[in-house]
Amino acid sequence: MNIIQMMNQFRQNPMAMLSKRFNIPQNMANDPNAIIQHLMNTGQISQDMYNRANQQFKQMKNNNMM
Amino acid sequence: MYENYPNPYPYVNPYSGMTRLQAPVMPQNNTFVPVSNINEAKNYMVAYGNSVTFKDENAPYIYTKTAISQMDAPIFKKYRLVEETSDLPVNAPKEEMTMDLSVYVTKDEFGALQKELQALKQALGEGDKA
Repeated sequence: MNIIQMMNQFRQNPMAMLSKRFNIPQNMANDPNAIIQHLMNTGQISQDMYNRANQQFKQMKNNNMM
Repeated sequence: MYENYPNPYPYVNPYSGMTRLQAPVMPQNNTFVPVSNINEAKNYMVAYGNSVTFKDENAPYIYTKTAISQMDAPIFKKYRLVEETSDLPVNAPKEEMTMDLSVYVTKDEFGALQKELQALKQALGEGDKA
């Protein structure tokens, strides 16, 4: 699975992709933003990690890869 | 010629038993996050207890978004960038306005003039009327 496929899967069903690796409550909405916010608030991913991922995503969009 | 003799000084790597030291990865929280507009900064996700500083790529603004806790709404601030042309610090005291004192008479000079005028009046006989 390449990075674009991963991104698409994350957008469509983030719970299925992340629930095994991260501790995500089952009653949480299957929404990418809500899940990212939860992971940041619980310290499972850092603000810096999110910043870097966000920048990489923007670069991919600018390069018409997404 | 000397192939059959064992080397009395075999090479020993002095670093063989040491693990390679790795530079600590420092969090880069002090960098600007570039955004294309204010809404992108407002919608940016910030973890509780963190603050993110944004640089607007299309307007002269800096934004900060701080998330304190789940109970409090994030604090969003907007700063306008203004070019500073002066070398003086912003809060430097302004120079006092200089006043040209040469056009004014002193109190002593005024007193002397007043006495002279009084003497003239008296000489003219008007001093008694006053």
